[in-house]
Amino acid sequence: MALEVMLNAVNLNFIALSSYRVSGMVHPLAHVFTILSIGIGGCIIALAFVITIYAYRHYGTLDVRELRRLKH
Amino acid sequence: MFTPILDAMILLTVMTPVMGLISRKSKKVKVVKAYAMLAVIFALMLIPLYYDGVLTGDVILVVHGSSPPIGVSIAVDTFSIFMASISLIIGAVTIAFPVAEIEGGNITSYYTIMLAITSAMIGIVFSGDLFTLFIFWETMCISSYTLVAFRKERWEAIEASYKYLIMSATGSMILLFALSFLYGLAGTLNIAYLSTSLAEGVENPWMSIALLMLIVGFGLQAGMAPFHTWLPDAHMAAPSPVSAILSGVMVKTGIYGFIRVLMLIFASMYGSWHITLAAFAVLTMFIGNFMALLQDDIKRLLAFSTITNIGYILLGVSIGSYRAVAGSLFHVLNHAVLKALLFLCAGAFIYRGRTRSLMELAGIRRTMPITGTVFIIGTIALIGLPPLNFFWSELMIVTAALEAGLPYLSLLMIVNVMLSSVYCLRLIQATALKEPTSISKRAKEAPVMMLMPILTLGLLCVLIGAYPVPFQAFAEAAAKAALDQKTYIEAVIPP
Repeated sequence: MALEVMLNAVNLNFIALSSYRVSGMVHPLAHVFTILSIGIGGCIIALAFVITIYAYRHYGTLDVRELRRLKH
Repeated sequence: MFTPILDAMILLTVMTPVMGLISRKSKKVKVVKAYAMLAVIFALMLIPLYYDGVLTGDVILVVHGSSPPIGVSIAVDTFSIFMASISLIIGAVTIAFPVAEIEGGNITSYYTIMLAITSAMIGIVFSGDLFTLFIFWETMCISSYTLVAFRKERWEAIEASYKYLIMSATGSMILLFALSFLYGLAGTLNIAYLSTSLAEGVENPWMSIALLMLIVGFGLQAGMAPFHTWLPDAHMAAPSPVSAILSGVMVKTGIYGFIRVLMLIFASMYGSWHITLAAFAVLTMFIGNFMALLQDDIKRLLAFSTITNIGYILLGVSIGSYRAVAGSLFHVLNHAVLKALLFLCAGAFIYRGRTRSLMELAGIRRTMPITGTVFIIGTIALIGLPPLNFFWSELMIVTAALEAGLPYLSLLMIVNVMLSSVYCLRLIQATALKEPTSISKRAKEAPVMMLMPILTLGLLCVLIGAYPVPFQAFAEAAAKAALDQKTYIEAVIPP
């Protein structure tokens, strides 16, 4: 679930930059962005799992090298 | 909460399952479809009612929560209205097209997601700050992954959707990463505030990194060349009306993002993105054209032709002058109408012929005369012959490149228009001139419900070609609004 790792990197970046903007305190706007983007990330991961389960039903494996029938 | 049209669309989308329940109880499947169509047409009627001022160049600002640099803001200008009208028109026509491929499946959820993707696209073009844009962007992406995987009992739909999900979610994360850098530079994500505070920061290296990430993020959704590989698979595996809406309007939201961000926020860095984007555009055109020559699958061929046309549009954006952007936006309109038409015709062929192979569909015009004729008119328009709509917008982009002093770009574009005529002629030869196969001999004319959307789009195509002035004027007004930073910024930031 590399997507989740990428999302976490972005969220951390938002938080880190929020304390950099205003000296001495943390800008709350970035926290709003982070909370919302965690929610969105959850939706994407849930959908990714659903599609992965369907892929497993069709192919019987989760090996990505098998999911290449569309390659012409 | 937001603007009337966006509110109406969101409310109507949420109401769709209720209508689905009613239609199931009353055993009339048509109820839900009629409801979805009426919802989109209702939203389309709201445009002239509420946005008269916007059509003449004003900007409407709606703020939710705290004042602009912090809160959620919606900013509507002529450019937004232009894109929203295209989304709604194509949305209405594709919803009207019967989905034979999922007959007996879950009709209600299909229409709910179709309405959701339409309202998310309207949300994207109405957003006044980049984070609101991102939320609607993700809504659109999630709806489209689901629509591609809609026929979940088939392996190709699942595999295409999986590929699309991984690529597009990565693109969205890159986009969000760019937004976090922009936030770090300016302390806000409101487009107008970003535009004023970043106007001087040309020297900052983080600006270039954010710019590159934005180009990748938007380009991935638009089907730009090195990131285009999801597009043919997704278009091939999705049901035909879904392909029409994906190819017609969804990839254009990427173009919207490009124009909005590059013209408002990075306008001062024109020198650094102009050549990069032009190189991507030329690569996109060539890849689309050469790959389209090799295809036998009719929907895959049309998908590669979409990639080519995205190349033309990006070329216009990369030139960046007023006439070039107007040409690009006019091409967005023309391509949305024409590609939706061709995908719906292909859907009718597939419905009667039960195959996507061009070899097996050979000579199908003899048994399906009306659909076949409209398809051939559409293909002739795709070549760019004068009395039809593509000619005008391609001419605008080519002449704009010449005016901007970039003759080699217009030469490359003309070469590509020539190349694209090769696969268009092949489509005409396959559907009209070849001897009919046993499959196409058995085919019958498409049902009336399928013919109506096809004929509407065909008429629109010919109308834009024969009488382009009002459409061209609308596109020019939209381009003027897109390039006019002063009005936009003054509307958001009180002087």
